[in-house]
Amino acid sequence: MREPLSLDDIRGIATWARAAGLGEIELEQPGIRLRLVFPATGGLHLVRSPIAGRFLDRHPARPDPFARPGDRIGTRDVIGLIQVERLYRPVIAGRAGVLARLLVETGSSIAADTPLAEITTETEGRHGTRS
Amino acid sequence: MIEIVQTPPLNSVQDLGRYGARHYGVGTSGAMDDVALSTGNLLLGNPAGAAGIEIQMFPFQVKFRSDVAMAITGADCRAELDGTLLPPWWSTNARAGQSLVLQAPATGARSYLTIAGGVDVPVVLGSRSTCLRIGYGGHRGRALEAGDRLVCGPDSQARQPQGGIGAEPPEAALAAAAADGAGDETVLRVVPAAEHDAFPAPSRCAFWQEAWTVSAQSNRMGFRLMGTPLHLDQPLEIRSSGIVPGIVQVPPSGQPIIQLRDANSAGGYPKIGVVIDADLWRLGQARPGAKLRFVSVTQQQAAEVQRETEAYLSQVAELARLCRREARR
Repeated sequence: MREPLSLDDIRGIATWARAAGLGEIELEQPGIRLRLVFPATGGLHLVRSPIAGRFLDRHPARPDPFARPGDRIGTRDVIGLIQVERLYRPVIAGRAGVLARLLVETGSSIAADTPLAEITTETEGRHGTRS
Repeated sequence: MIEIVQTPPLNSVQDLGRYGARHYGVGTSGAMDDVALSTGNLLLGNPAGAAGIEIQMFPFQVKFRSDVAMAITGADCRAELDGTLLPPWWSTNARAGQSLVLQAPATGARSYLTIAGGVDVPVVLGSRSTCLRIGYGGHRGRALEAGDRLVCGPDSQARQPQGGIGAEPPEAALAAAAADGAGDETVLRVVPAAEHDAFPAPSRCAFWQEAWTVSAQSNRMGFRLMGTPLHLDQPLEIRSSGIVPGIVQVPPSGQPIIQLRDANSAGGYPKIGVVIDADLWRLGQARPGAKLRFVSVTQQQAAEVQRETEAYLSQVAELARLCRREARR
């Protein structure tokens, strides 16, 4: 028979889940159901490359970058492109906040899952994002 | 189905043109920027020549009446889907009820809206292209109007991966643009045509060495150019002969005309050269006031450029196919 969850287990799971960027996690064992909700207290969200390719901070047909450090970013905003031969895939922010910095130079070749940008996430209260 | 909400005149349904009826005097019509139309289609998994909408007058707005995958290619018209700015040369999914708004581009002249499954209008003499000049083909033989509803073809269920996919613009991918001169000059590759050698040396010199300005009298039928007049020493007696998009004719005024997609199928002015097929898309993006220069190439060189363009399109098609397949998993 499995040991019930200890406080240390829960603490460990919470640390791991937060580091993975989860907003909440639910665990179930016979006789126990645990739901951990992490208040978004503001932190750093790492945007990673979805695929290997060449990172571009702007589209070649437009002079301006998709986002500059300090810009407010929406969850679904495109913050860059990954070029693979003739095709571009979008780099999507994934979390709302403020672009803290880009971690790679535009034009550089990167592997899949490379951290590309840091977004300072904001507390998401009931009344929208903190301003 | 898509509904046209707002459009100035002269925006129309076009595919890659009407071939096989020129001997009856039927011109080709078709997209002025064939590379942009093809790229949009290939991003979506359509055949390159599926019909799309050529937008040359702005602002232009459509509302999607069903869920569709769509692409915007050609001149960057800063397309917004329900207020979200899309990158240029981009394909994505649109939901029923969403609006797409295109603004006048800062550079280039024509944008293309393509839809998974293609725009389904009746096929006339083998093509869905609109001949605006005579009034047949496309949607009821005319330019699009607010309130028009266009039906998409049978494959309109196809979807793009989350966030969409884009194509590297041909301006960046092909060597053509690298040949362009300083400022806004577009350098076009031209094969000398039948009456080239009949022009005296000063006229030939002017044709090849000077910059030509696209005049305001320029449209889908052809571009009238302004520059040093080209004159023959004596008038040539020539019969009307077949002409193709790209032919550079010299009328008695000495100001050349480049015949384009909606041109007549025959003409009688002396022909000094022909802009190669693979460079016609760049003319499709030239606006009145643009400066053109001509460089002489052989037919063999023209064929090489054609192969380069075809390689670009097949790379876009193949990678887009892989992306869509991956997204379905």
